Amino acid sequence: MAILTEDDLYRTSTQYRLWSFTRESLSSLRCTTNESAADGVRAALYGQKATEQSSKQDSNVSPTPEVDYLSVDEEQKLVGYYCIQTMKFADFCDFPTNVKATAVQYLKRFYLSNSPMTYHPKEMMPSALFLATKTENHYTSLESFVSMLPKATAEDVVAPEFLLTQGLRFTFDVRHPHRGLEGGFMDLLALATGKGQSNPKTGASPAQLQQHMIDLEPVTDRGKKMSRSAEEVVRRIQNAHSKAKELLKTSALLTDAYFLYTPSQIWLSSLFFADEPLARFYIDSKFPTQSPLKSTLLTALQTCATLLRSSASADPEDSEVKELKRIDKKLYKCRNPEKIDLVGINKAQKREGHEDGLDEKVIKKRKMEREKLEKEAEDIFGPALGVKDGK
Amino acid sequence: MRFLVNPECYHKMCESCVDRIFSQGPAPCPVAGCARTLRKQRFRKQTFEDLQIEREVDVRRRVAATFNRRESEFQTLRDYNNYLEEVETLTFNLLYNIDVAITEAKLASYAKQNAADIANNKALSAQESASTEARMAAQKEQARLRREAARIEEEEERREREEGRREIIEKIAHSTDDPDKIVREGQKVVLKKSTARRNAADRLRAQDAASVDNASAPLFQIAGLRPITQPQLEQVYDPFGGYVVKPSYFELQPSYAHPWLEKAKTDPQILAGGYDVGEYCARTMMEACAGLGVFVEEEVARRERAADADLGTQSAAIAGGEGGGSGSDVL
Amino acid sequence: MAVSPVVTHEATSNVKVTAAKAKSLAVRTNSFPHKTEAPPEKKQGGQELAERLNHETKEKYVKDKKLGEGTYAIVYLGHLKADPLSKVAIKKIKVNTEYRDGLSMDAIREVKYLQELSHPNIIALHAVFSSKNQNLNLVLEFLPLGDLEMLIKDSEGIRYGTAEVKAWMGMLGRAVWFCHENFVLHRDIKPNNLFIAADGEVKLADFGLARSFSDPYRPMTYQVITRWYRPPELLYGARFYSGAVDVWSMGTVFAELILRVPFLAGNTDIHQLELICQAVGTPTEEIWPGVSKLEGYVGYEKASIVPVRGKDFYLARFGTAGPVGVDLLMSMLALDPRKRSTARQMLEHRWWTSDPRPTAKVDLPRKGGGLEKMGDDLKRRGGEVEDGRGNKVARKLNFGATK
Repeated sequence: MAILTEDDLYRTSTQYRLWSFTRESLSSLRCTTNESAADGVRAALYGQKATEQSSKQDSNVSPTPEVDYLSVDEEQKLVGYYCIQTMKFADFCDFPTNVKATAVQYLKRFYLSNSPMTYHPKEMMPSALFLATKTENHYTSLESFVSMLPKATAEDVVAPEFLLTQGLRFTFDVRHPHRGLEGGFMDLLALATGKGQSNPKTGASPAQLQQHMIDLEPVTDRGKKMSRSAEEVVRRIQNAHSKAKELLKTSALLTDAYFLYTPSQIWLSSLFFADEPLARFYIDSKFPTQSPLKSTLLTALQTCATLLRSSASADPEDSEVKELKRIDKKLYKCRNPEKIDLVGINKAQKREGHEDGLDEKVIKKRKMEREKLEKEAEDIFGPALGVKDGK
Repeated sequence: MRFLVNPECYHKMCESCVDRIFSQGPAPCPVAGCARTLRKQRFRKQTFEDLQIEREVDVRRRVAATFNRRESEFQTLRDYNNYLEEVETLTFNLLYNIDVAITEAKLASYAKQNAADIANNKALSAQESASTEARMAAQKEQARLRREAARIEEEEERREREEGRREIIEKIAHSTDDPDKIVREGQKVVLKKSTARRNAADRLRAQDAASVDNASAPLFQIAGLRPITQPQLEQVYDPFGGYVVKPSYFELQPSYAHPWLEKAKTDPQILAGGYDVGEYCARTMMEACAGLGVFVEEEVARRERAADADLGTQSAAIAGGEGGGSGSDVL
Repeated sequence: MAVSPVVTHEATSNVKVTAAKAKSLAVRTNSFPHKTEAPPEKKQGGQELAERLNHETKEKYVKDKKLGEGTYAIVYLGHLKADPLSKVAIKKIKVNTEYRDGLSMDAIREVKYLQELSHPNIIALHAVFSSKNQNLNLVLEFLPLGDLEMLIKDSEGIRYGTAEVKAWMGMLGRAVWFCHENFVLHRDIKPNNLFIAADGEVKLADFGLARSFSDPYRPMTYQVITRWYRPPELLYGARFYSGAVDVWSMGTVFAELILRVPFLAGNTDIHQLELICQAVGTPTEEIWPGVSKLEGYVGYEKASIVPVRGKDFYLARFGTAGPVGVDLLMSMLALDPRKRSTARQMLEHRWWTSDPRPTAKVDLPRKGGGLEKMGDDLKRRGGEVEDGRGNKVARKLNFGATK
């Protein structure tokens, strides 16, 4: 007898199974990726140096100058910057929020198991956005997509796509908090207008809930004295809703919220950020007063709210831009030479596929022959008379 | 001249001698030193050259008649083999006259113990060997027997009622008190009698079924019989296959007030296609609450610890079993 | 459940998957052999993590026999290297040939939704990996007994009655109900997308046309579901529809199971609509308010309007299902999608608990030769009909059954 609550349904999602981490496992995963990328670059540079040496028959074999590799936070800053670029580009093509959010998450997930040193985010960005339009049923043909892209060609967009899907480990479903926020908004509206369901756990009737909402202490930050009435509460909910919505469109995407928390916790903590008393009221209406779950949930929401607050702002000031330029220059030196030309790699893989295809056919033919001979050998009467018995 | 042999002592005699000695009744065996009394009708034609084989076949036929269990009745093939092993040891004892008395006692007690099963198996094998017409005849026979029994019972019933009525009439004729009281009593008597008769019939049937297992501690016991499982009472068919999707943090309201949704609820173009705003509301509420109780920090940590433990035991196992363990498994 | 890239032994056995069981998949740092004993292949040291993961998954499966090949995909029979007994079907989707825009929508949809849904009546996707030449390989559950279409077509060989139909419909109903609970529209339900596992369980496959429920004001394409199983609202080109489209397809499958011949075998969309009018009734404003607003709706003159068919008409054709079964069928074939029962209501119908009791999974009739059938079914793109059967003349000449 499998009773599935919402949590169980969420637990079957790939986001929970494959893309949820503890803070510590997330950071160590990024270190590993950074290290292995650095090794790759070193090996590639060394290989390149060796070929140059032999071609120039230069006598003195100078050891490869120790290249200064990107650190993990520099990588994070760079990826964060290009996430902002993705969001701007998505707004420019006026894609809906879920396409924009999915594209950003694809980039962030890709750069968990790959490093900017191997694949430059600038090249992965268009492909991530194009893939997001496909997976979010917002289909735009390649031509129209490329027409919106100033300097990229169709090849540039499609080439890294397979690499991206492999980096995403073929999971395309991203669960967003936006629709959850709408749900919360509707639930709050129902409570505010006295039509909400009476809370079975605390036994409060809808009218009491409504009255309780009205008595909520006013939002202090705007300072204006709030008059106590139902319409007032509705307007308050609407303000909180719009503020939370903005938060979800920007900082929730830029931070690691998706890896560390579940979508419902993300939208609730954005409501927490926008209007704390309202959020607390909503949680009380959902949970019996002293349930342990509620306390852990509250702590989780608080930490998530701080995380959202700490995100880089959508339009970085010039100091950050300067920092990003420095990182970009540094990256230029330590990029993995072999992996620069993505389009070339893509074609090579496809061609390699075909050649392999050929060898495969040859191997298969030989295997089939061997099997046929074996089968005949087993056959009690031996192979057919006419067949020469040569091995 | 034809020789006959008697299964008691397997001594051969010609037909005329058998007539001569045994026609008056049972007489001792004429062969010197064999004092067994033989009966004429037990003599029969010798089927095998060698008397020893003749005897062995008889013994085996007798034992097989009692031990006729089938493989399907045993839980495992091994049990069935053990059973065959024991039957063979019994047969061997009988053949080579090793503590024949105990073996015969075992044979007898097993026979009494499992008379029903033996009969079933016999009928089963008989049915299998007999051709279908024979089987149909057997079934018809059984049906006729059942009808016969029913008819006798019904006749008995009618006779009793008849008697009861006659008694009542006589009583009314002779005695003076109120006739319908007499009639009521009379009917009561008839009723009591018929129920008594029916109970007796049932008891009889139950009794002979029960009579089989009143034997003392069984001398000969076999193990591993597959318990006959009646098909257990099938539970009610659950169309959802045991799955229940039950939201725990919210109850879906029939409709939700959301300014943005109003148009979707009224626009005929949307509604005609079957678009259901309720489905959208169900989805938003589900996604609003999905994962509220899921704390990634804890659960993923627990999941990793489990995976670590698993890896730990795995490497320990590999370390332990130094020889085996293909290289690729070790991470 | 997607097989964990970390080679932990418990993940390899083909454990019966239930949604409730949380799938433990650990992507962890210390599980990646970044230390020296990385598998000593020819790849140079710092080779990307993703490729290594992909390689590990690839190494776990061995391809044996090729079951079928088509333009869209090749299907192999394979097994787990660790456990040669466990058979799997490996569907290799040809990515780079006919679709210039990178990964095709079908491949994306199939992978996306199969990764999310795990239910005994939905085909399980064990793992996904890419082979050298960028082809996508889906490691699917192995379903040896072919699909439901084979059972239906083989009217002499396979005998079945109402109890078997009830068992199959129950399984199909559970699959669609679970999809709708996860807010996924399958949009391609038909007998040859319903495979039969070794234990007789029917599994819904081919999520090539699936999509999640759309938000308000977001139009969806109406070019979905194979024509014979397409509901009237899609034939009228509705851009906003709901789970009811899948319920109509289930209704037509139900009818086909009883008739053993496709219920509404139209050659063109117009012809399909005519068949619906004949068999179910002509959609008019009275019975389906707002239908005239749909783009594709073509007015019907008075004379040709067929009144909505009553229970007796259905009983005449679908008598074997019994009055209760016919009542369920009619509720699934209601013209107005809003009046049509939802997947949940269909499962709550009293037919499931009324007599006869659905046959147990293990005694359902089965047919050999499923291997090849599964091969050529899986290789087809979503929505494609096997050309051999499509609108071949033989189908139409069959006057006997469809009268």
